[in-house]
Amino acid sequence: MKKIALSLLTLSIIISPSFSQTGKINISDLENRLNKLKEMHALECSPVEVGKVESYLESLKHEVEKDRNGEEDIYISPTNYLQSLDKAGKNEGKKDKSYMLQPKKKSDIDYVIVINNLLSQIEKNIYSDKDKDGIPCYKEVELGLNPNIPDKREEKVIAKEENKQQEIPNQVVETKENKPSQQNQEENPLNQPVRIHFYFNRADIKKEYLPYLNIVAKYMKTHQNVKIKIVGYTDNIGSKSYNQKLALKRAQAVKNYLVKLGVNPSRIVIEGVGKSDYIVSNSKELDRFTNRRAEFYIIKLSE
Amino acid sequence: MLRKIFILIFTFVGLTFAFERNITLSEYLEEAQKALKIAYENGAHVKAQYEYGKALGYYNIAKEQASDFQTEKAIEAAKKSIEWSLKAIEKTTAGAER
Repeated sequence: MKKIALSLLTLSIIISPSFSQTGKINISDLENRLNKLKEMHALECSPVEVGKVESYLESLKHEVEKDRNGEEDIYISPTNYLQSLDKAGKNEGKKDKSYMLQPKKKSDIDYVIVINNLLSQIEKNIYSDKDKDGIPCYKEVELGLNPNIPDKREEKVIAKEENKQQEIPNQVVETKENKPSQQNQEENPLNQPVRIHFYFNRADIKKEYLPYLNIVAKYMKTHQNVKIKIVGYTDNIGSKSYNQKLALKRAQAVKNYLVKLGVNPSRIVIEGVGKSDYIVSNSKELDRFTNRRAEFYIIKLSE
Repeated sequence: MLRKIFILIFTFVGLTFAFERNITLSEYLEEAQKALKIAYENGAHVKAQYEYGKALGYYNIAKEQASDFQTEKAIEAAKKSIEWSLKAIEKTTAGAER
């Protein structure tokens, strides 16, 4: 019996300091996470949430500093205030730079939960595509584009397409409407850059793009003088010939869907580009997803 | 009898003290809310999102601290919320003038 009591006592002694250590909240960790997100353009992609997180972090840090100075929570008398100033002065040289808070109230833990939620919200906003142009927010900021306005592809790629357009016979004139009039832009769904993205090694259309394709089909049915060209693209993984076929399959899948909705197949031209004309570099999975796409171009019949 | 009188006096003093403190806190909270409302009406949630977010964050903290009876902390947070709301308003109006 004595042995059991002794072993329990030693166990409790061993466990207790580590337990109290784990019970602490490390504010520096949260701050580091926020700083990393800021490097990923969190301020541009999710400014409201960044502001909120900073306010919560600042108030938690203020708590820690109060704890260090041994200040009272509710009321500080002038003598206590002077004492705390004196203490702070003495401790200034050996100040600990890490912010560890021993939670005393429920609100301290609530704050950490709120901060964590906000940080994951920021992360989500960084990778989100607010303007639905296929480029994630952080990438748009890096490229110097506005994440709230749908952007067209890089000028180099556009120039390449213009060259291709010149090669096509005179009877049919292809035009990628670069600067449509304001009124026209509102009416014509194809005037905005249209992209449909695909999963890796797949050519089936994601459900979220179907409503847009429905609008395109409706537009095609009401505007009989318009033809469209669908170009499929892939990322840089796999052989050139395989990607060429996959790109064509993607364009074909979009065509099939439009035909199913009642668009005449002769009004849709398809092309598979494969491993070229990337929007962004293929370094990350998200970037590769951006590159795996099918795009629409308007072909207006010459009068 | 004397003890009863003492208790009455102490409770009265205590209550009036608490009442006064609560009034100031609620006033601060009200002012913070008003400032946030003005900032929103000026379009700070679009033009000065970071500042507006900070003001919102501090206002939430003020409310939480007030519900925990942490009067001083609540007042402090409410003051900061007002400060950031003013910054947000300043930024939006400056943007509008340009």
